[in-house]
Order: sequence, then C-alpha cells, then structure tokens
Amino acid sequence: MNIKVKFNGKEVVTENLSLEEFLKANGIDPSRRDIGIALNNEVIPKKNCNGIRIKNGDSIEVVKIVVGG
Amino acid sequence: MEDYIEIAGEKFKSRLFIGTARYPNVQVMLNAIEASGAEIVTVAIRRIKPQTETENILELLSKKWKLLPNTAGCFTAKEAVITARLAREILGTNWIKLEVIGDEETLYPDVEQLVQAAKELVNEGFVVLPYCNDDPVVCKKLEKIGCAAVMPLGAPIGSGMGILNPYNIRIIKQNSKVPIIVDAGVGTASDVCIAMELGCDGVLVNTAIAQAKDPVKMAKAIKLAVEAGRFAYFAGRIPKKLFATPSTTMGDKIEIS
Repeated sequence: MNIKVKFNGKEVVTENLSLEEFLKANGIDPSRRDIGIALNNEVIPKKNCNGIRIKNGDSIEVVKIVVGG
Repeated sequence: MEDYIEIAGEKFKSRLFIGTARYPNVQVMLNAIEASGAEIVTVAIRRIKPQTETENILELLSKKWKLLPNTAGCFTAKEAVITARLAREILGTNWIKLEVIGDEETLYPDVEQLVQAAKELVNEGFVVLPYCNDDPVVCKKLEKIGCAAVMPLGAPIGSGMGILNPYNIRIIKQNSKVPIIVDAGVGTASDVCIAMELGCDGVLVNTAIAQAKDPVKMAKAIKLAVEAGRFAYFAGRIPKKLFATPSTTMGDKIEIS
C-alpha cells in the first residue's frame, strides 16, 4: 500500500519502506559520511536507518555538508 | 610571543576564521584557505539534491581544517537547534556557529530566537558561537548563557562596509570574559586590522576573500592584517588629539628675522 510522506519539504507518494530503502529509492546512499537524516524533526543515526519503517504523514529531511560562511 | 586564541579549552594559533562560500571555484577556495593560515573553516547544512551532486566538501576540507558548522539560513530557534543536531551527527563535533536570522534583506539576527536557541544548545552540551548584533547587552547575555565565544557583526553579512561601530565593539570586548570574534562586514584587510586593534580575539571572513579579484592574495593580506592589528593592540596606540604635537623638537632651530 502506498503512503504519503514529506521528503525535503515536498510531498511524495512511496511504498511502505524502511528509511534506508526509501533513501536508496531516492538515489541517496545512507552510508555517506557527509549526510544527516531527520525523521519528524528527530535526528536519526545513519546506522539505525534500516530498522525504521516510514509511516504515512512522516516528514523526512536529508541534508549534507555544503560550503558556508 | 606565545599568542593563541582559546575556545572551550582548545587553542588555536590563527585568529582568522574562514568561510567557505562564494569562491569562484573549489581550487581557489582551497588555495585561499591555505594562504590565510586559518585553522578553523565554516561550513553549512543544506537539503541534499541527489540529481545535482557536486564535490564532497567534507572530504575536501576535513583532513586539514577544523570544521565549524553554521546554522545559516535558519529563521527560528527550532530550525537552528535541529540544524545544529544534524551537524553534530554528521561531523561528530559539538561546536556550532549559531545564526538565527530575523530579516532576509539585512540578515540581522533575530535576538529573541537566537538567545532561545543558544540556551537550548548550551544545555545540550554544544560549544555555541553565536553570530549576533554589535550590542553589548546582547553579547553579555549570550556570554552569561554559557556561549563559548561571541561573534558580533562588524556590518551586515556580505556588505563589506567594515566595522561600523568600533565603540560598541570595544565595549563588548572590554566587558567580555569569553573570546570576541568579529563576524561579517569585513571588506578588506584594513577592516580586519581595526577589529584586532580594538582588542578582538579573532575575525571571521568570507565574502571579502571569496569575492576579491584575487582571493588568494586577499587571504594573505587579511592574515597579515590580523597579525598587524594584534601587535598594534598589544603595543598600545597613542591617544587621538585635535591639535598637532611636533615630532621634531622646536628648540634650537634657526630663526631669521
């Protein structure tokens, strides 16, 4: 069954996946050192991604290190 | 002379902090940071865009420099706190350059949100370096909360207008027990020199170097300005006076009638 989640501010329809599967399906390697993940405003350690299933209405933020002042 | 800046128990020889944004390209950025002699460089946190991936900034910078993540672009305490936690998770550092912006046009801090975020982050064990107004009351408040250093602006971010209120910066420094690092507003080397002559413990520079015609040369100039200003501060400037005082004695000069 498909669910709706917010991914980096945009609503997307997805299958009921683990957080790790969701990231991979969106072209993101969850083991990358320079990224961070928050689920419903809680920071998720990357190693825990596989054990978390995303739910309808979840908000997922994936960020990376960029240049800045 | 043994001279270093100490923040949260860590000592650094360089008093210059470099921002990594707005360089013409990555190689110029790396060369400029190298020329600046800085030990700490700032980075930011942004949403990933897998389709438009460019270079891995973390890999490029982390081997050589201490990375200081910022919360640039955050407009609320809540956004800033989550950004700081994400930065800690990625970088494994509890240091955060805290920015909470109140207005898109001036990029002036939202003091109410800034103080709230600083309290929360200090309570969570972060080493907080807040970017704030050149207001002695706010700076003192941030120090009392437990911020490890305070970073008053010289002028609006990226404006290049220099140190607009040197009197306030002097008061802020005189009142403070934590390092004062002027952040934002530097246009060229002389601005940095003034900040250091006022007694500031350090300066953070980004746009003045990144957008200079020759960023690497400007980085070197600003490095020297930090040193010159620091020496001048220790040397002690003479007081300003309205009228002249001759440097050559007036006695025994010839007088022709």
